[in-house]
Amino acid sequence: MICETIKPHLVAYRDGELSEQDRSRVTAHLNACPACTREEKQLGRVEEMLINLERITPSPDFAATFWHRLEQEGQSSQEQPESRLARWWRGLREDLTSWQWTPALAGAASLLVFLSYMLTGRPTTTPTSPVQPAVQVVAAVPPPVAKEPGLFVNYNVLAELDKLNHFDEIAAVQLPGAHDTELANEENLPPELLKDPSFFVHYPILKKMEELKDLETVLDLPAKGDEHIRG
Amino acid sequence: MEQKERFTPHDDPDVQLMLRFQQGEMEAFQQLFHKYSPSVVNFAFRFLGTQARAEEIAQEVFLQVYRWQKRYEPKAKFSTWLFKIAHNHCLNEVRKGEYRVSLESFDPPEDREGDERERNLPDTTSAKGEDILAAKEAAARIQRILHRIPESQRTALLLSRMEGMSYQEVAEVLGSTEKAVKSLVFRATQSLKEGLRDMLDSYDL
Repeated sequence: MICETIKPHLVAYRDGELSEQDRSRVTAHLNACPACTREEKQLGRVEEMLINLERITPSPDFAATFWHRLEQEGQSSQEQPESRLARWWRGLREDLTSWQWTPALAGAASLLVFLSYMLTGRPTTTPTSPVQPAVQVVAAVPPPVAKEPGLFVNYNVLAELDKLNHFDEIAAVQLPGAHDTELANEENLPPELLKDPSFFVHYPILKKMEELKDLETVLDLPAKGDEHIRG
Repeated sequence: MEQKERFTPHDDPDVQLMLRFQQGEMEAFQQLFHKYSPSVVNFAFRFLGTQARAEEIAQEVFLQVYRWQKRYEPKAKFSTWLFKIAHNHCLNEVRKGEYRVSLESFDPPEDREGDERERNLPDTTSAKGEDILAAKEAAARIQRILHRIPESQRTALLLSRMEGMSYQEVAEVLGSTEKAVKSLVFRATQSLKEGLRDMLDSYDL
């Protein structure tokens, strides 16, 4: 019976983790009990096998990868550099609000329509369609632009895009590149867009956004509250 | 035991390194990384079972140490604090459910050239072929058993055996008591003993 009370202490006994009193008690028992002595030696052997397991050596690029990750983290926390897609979007917004050059408006309007088309998966109003005043024109917009109601048909879509705060993830999405430039194979592409070469400057990016699986989830994120249009 | 009770965190040279890092000495952090990263990788590997994930986890652990630079307060030995982070990361990894280790991945690796598991085996180049095979079998079996026992037992065993931590230090890592750790280590060792019984019986004790 005493063996059963001793055995649970044998590992701690070997580890030197027993009080002096308990240690003396176990030692006295081991001196008189061959079965527990054998048990204690087996535990010692198990410990030996465990300790003798070779320690894993980190792969050669482990440290370099870590310092690289640390460097990246340091940069992102200090500078928050603008991603490629964020830069594109900012540029687009600035283009749209840099109203002194109207020749770009036609291309921009086409871009907005196509963006809406891609995001909703169904054709919406085109710039030449009758405009429904779903969105009020922002007061800061210069009068010449306000005269182009077609531009604002899809303002909601662009406003929602402002909520996209995963630009890096979007930019990092790997897409099959086969169709990036094969516009001729696109089905249901609005004919108006095909007439507008300026649109296609951003086509690869739009394709990437279109194929982003969780775009709807991203769009549901709360807005950051910044302005939708820069004055 | 009395010496342990008198120990204060500030006596730990690695705590001093962490405090120097807190003052902006990047070299101190580099020293800690070089000293402890292999141990954290090894712990994570034994806990999770794959080296690639173990290395990722180890990197995340040190990234967290880096992020905690300003908030760090020495309340224990640095190694205790570090392995507490490592243990939590490993637990999260397991509980995320993304991670599945098939038991067959711990089978002897003879048929898989360059497999990382070959690193786990004792260097038995001077031993006979039978001994080498026995060592390989033992290593694979130990890893399987480690993965089967409860996580707290696994951590207690790994830290006490492979990192040489006292029960008190293991208890700090687990947020437990020395008494509980004693029980965890005992039960884990019993599981190993049962799993290796035939091998142990063949030894001349």
